[in-house]
Amino acid sequence: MFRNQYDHDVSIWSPQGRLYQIEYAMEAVKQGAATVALKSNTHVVLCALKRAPSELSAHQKKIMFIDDHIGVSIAGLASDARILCRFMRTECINHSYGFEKPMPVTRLMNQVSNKCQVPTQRYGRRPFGVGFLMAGYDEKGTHLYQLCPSANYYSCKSMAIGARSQSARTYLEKNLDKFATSNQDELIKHCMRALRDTLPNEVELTVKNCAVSVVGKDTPFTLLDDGRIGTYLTAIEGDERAPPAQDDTIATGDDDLPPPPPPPGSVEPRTIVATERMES
Amino acid sequence: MISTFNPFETHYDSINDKDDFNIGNSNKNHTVNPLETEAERNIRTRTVTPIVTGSSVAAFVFNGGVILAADVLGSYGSLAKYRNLPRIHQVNDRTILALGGDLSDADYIKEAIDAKVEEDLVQEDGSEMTPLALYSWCTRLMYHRRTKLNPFLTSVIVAGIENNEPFLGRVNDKGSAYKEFLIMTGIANHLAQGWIRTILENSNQLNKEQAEHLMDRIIKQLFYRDCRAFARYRVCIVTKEGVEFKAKEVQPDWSLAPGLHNTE
Repeated sequence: MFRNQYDHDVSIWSPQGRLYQIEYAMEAVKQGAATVALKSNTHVVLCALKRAPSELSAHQKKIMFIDDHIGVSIAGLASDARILCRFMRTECINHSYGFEKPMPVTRLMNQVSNKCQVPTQRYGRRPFGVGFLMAGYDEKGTHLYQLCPSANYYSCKSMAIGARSQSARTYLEKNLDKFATSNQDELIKHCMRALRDTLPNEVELTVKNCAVSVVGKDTPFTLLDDGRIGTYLTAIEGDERAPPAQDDTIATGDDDLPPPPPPPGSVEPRTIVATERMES
Repeated sequence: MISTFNPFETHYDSINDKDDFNIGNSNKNHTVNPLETEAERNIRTRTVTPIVTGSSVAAFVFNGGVILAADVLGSYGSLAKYRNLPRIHQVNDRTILALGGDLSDADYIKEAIDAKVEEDLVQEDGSEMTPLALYSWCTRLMYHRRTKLNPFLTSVIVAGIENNEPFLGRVNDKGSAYKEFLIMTGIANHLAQGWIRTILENSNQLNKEQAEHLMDRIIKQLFYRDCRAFARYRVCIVTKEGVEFKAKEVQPDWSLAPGLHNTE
């Protein structure tokens, strides 16, 4: 029934000093559709792959508006993400009511991370099963943050999370130097190329399954409409696609299905929470 | 007759002891009801009249900065009781707070702001209070208290440099607020607002020296005419270069006084 004896609750330590429930929550993020973000000195771009749960339904919403200067892109449980988004919107609106100026992005990240930390330490609760990339622009410049279910957050130049996101990270690492000085169009194209690298060979990026948004200097947070996404898709059409990379997520072949049960005998989950001890 | 006096019995002065205890289970319990204050008896109280007050604050914008001045007197009614209470405070290197009216409320506001600044500091995200943010926050605070029918009986002036431009704003005890290039609180609003406004509107942007000189004239006039004014005062000048405080004293000239009649 259980994977091991130490994963009954978030409040239970394993003798190796690990918290399995939190690590499982980190796995939930890896099952969500991929999302990529990167920033220059003036703009931040979010790009996400949208899935449709069935042929009959519309594609899920992946990028959410928080305030005129902040937006997030999610991977994992969308319902958990909605709760966090509502919280973030409230924080932003309260801040601008109280101080007549937009919420500093770092401050918001800190608030939401503190909120996420609570259910990682309380008996009977579960961590938020969602990771997100927060893009924002404030008086300190552009910001890009990654938030994990473990309530850790990281400031990034570029980042990709979700299913098969390793391929996107490979692309981002390869082109990291170009981002800082890129203009908005270049940035969007980089972001979409990185996202395209997460797709299996037979799938193509289309206007339907791709969401793009941008925020930055003199640019309030906007979700690009289909027409503009189409223009960028045409622009990157001829570009070379990276060969499918070995992914660190559990390969399933079908992203819509949960990963297969671990092979018998394996009791250790394959991820780690960000602690000093990387391998037990 | 055997004396009932027992030297070993402990004795308590229970008549003058207002605490509601009864050590030794004495039958005679002369304690009064210990709920002495109205607050303890759950009666809501409000400050209706200010007790220790500060007089006017004068402030105006000049070319490239803001200048503020206020004397250092805390009056207890008409008694010049506290003679070294500065009412202009530096919040950070671009934000200034000046307070007039009830000084205990002013103190409370100052402490609340200090706590807020400290909170911002420990967040370590580099975001700082700006004049506009503080002005807005004070508006919310003052309006909140007037809505609870318990207003702070002070007027708050926020000044500083916002986005490289001089900022000057004022919030009154009811939470209504406005930004202006010339702000006078208290009796200075009646005594100095008019002629200073004329001067500022007719002069084409004063420089720092002219502004300081004009401010000295304002304070001198207030010292002559305002019964709660005090000779010692503080001037604060905020520019892009930073904040500068000066302690000054009015040098009055009473040589005209003997010639004045009908003053009683």
